[in-house]
Amino acid sequence: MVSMTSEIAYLENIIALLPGHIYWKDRNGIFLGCNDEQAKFIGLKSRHDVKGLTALTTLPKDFAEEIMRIDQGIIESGIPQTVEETLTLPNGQNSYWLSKKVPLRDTDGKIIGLLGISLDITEKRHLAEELIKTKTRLDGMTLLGASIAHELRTPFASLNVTAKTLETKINNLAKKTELPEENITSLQHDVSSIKKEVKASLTFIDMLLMNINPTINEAKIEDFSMRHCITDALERFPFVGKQHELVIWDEKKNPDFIVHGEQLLLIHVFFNLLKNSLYYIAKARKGNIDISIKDHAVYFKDTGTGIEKEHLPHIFKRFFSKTYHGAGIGLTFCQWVMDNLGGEITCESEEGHYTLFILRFPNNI
Amino acid sequence: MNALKIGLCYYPTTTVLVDDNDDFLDRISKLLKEHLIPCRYYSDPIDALDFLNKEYVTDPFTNRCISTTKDRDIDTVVSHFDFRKIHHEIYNPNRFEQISVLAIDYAMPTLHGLDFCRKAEEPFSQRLIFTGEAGHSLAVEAFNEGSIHKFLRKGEVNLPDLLLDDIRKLEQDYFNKLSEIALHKASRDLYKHTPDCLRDPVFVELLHKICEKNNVVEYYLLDEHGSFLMLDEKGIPSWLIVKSDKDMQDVYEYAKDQGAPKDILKLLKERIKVPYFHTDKDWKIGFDQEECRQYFHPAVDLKGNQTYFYSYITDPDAYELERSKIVSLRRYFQGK
Repeated sequence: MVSMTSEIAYLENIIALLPGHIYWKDRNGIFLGCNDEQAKFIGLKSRHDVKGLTALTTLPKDFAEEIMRIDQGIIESGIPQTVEETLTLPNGQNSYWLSKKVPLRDTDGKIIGLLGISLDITEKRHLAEELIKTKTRLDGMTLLGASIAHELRTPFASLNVTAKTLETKINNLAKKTELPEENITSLQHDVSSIKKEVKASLTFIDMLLMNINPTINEAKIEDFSMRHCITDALERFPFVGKQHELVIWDEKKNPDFIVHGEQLLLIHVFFNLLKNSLYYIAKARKGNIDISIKDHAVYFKDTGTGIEKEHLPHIFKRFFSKTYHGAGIGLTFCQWVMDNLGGEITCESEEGHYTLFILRFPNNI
Repeated sequence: MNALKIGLCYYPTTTVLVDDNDDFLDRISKLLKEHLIPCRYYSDPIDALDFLNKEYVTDPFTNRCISTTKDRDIDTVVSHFDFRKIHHEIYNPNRFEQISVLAIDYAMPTLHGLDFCRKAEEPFSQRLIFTGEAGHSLAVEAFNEGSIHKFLRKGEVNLPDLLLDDIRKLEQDYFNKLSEIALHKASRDLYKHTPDCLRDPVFVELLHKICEKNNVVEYYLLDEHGSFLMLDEKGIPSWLIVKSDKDMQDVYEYAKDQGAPKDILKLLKERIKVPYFHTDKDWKIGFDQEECRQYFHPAVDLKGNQTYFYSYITDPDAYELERSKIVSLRRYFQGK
């Protein structure tokens, strides 16, 4: 049989080591006891030294008064409470506490004090605040995106239609009139450059909206050829000047595989990768883009500036951007798409030499 | 039976555009005009609906293709669909004003595009909706219930080309719909023969190629065998004469019965020439008459679901028409 003394010592030990901050007080708010963590927090060497102290003697005045007020309420009403308390630390930073307090009763049921447990939730709170900030920023961008869609798309659509009308007019004119051919050719050239600019703008608006608010259109999920998808993306990407000459891709020389998903999303993944690579090639004033397929994966490599070692782990994070124009949403979008396809995107880079994105797809066949 | 790949005829019809954005409306209407697509446009959907439901009269070509004959056996007048009347539509100056397509903006403040389409009473019109964004669930619902036939995103990179293509396709659907109804009625009449070539993709491809190459903007079925009268934008006629192998055999046997000269019989038997007689007067000319020979044309064979023999004739006066009465598409646009 275990002796009474060793039983008590055993329980004492458990109380001392309980996690969180545990304390119990009498009706006047005078500490009757606490665990080690609480003792340490209020600067005591031993938890037994807490007896006789009050919140007022151990904590900043404002905070202590607030605690006394809450405690008194519980003792008078007999109703347990869960409260969030904010404590300003001597260094000026706030710490946040989640406390559950219950009334202590004697054998007759009379309230003789209270028992409390408090948990430090400062870190969780910071995380939540960060999340709210991110969400606010995201909501802001989505709203901005939606207004771009309405405010910019329609005028661009009008311009697009006007360019087509002009083109038809010029072609009809060319058939009928005796205008010198060089005049007609020059007009045709001007109109086709307007058309090209308009198409580029519309594509970039699409890209921006897609990156901000990616959604899967269930109706558009299909089996498609990876090779065709890459060729299609390259045909549709609004290259400027001779940029398209920087891309090395030969559909016939690469093995093909079938992907099950929404093709448009993957086309936008390539749009993002192309846009990034072209930026870093321009910055490095050298390099090209090499796309190839091997073992159910697409290798998208550019030999532009490469990525600094310390930045590499962060490139897929939202709002992380190292370009002056970047919002830091493009690669996050790429990762989201690849996740949804059941694949993954990874990046290898050597600063000054190359950046390689590897898009791996599930092999279900 | 296969669905019709082309209608009994085609001519440019009116597209009604409705969009509260005046600029967009203006640009689209100019584009359509440049491509000789008749159009009416409204920036207020209520005005457009008023016009459609109160002012506009649906009067399709099929209304004018009914002939009556007296059946002597039962002594009653029977009406039937008359293929030979379809091309009389070329003399109808109002044909271009028939409405085939409603192209409506999705989000308008006074009346929603989908509600507009539900309220528009025109029974044969095909409806296209312009959307800002793809994938509205409401839109999908409307598509499923059949009040919408096409969606087009305004932000689409190839919007102008897509819109022109869509309008052409929807116009075709409009004519197909009218034609299916007419043929369905005709099949109950005594005249059961309907041209199979209208359901044959190989033939339809040939017809479209001829139209494109020769700037044909209107075509009309001339008989139950598949011959067409074609007009370009100036109203200048050309003729696509078509007969199936079976039709050729029938003509051959008819000619033999009529005692046609041997060389004519040889041309028919060996399918070297394909004949077409346009008017009753043409039919009455004997095979032995010299002027009959002008209605025999060098035949080209085409293998589709069956073998056809055709000839495309660019001589506008090959057959009799009242050319001065034709209102051409060009003249219609100049008169506006």
